Amino acid sequence: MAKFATDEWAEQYAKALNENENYRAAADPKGFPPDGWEGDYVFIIEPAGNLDHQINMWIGLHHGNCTGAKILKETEPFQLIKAGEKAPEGVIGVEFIYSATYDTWELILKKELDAIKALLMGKAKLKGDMAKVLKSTKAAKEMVVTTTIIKTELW
Amino acid sequence: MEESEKEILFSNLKEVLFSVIENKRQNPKTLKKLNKFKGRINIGFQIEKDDYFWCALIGENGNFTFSRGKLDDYDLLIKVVPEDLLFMVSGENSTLHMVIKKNEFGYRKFRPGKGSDNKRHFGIILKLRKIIVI
Repeated sequence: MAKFATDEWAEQYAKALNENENYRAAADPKGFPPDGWEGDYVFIIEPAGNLDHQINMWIGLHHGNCTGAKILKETEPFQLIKAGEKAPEGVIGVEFIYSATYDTWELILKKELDAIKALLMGKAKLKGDMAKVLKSTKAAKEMVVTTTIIKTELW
Repeated sequence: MEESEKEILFSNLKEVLFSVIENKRQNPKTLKKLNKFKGRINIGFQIEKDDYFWCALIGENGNFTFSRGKLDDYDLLIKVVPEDLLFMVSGENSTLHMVIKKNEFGYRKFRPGKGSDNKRHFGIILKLRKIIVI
């Protein structure tokens, strides 16, 4: 069992996402034409409850595959970029940032709160091209479902 | 639902709907449909079994407004759970799915009603789909 939002958990998440056939089907070229989903994410877990510090987790996504996932160090800055844009050197560019407090993440992990509902109710925030996300809600849903598949130790 | 939560819900729904409309403006084919659309729609977002959060979508000559509250004079009335509308907007849920399947409160996911003239304007439902489904 891995502790939520640690490097071990991120590694298991990447593996689980690559093994999730539903995710692949929703984000590969057939599921997200013409080329498949392109656009990395950062999940931000804001401090609340037992978590006293912010965690930023990067997730690489390309054409139905997860190219990697890791917890970003404080020395690893990231910034929101548009599709096709490049981030400045030394900065990780991501197209989407999904952020919520740890309390909200905990509810999502326990399947007590739907990630989309959390977004609409303002409990979670999404930065990035909303229209692009709307075209891939199936893939986005599977990304969240995958977080609930991993045996997770909470903070 | 508290007032601050309603305001957040409203602003998120507005962002979703306008991101789709803006996306359609980029394509000459869909831009034509946007410009042709004419309708005044009351949307009751079901937030509890017997509680609806009312918003109004007005479209005419390519201009769209989305505001809180109900219109007195309207062509169509819709009742829908916010996240169900989002899955309809994203194309994940078809109109048939929305009309047949039930929501978390046991009602049909998409419930269209009569306009203020007491007539059913089915044409607007079909046109609306072309406006708000990405």
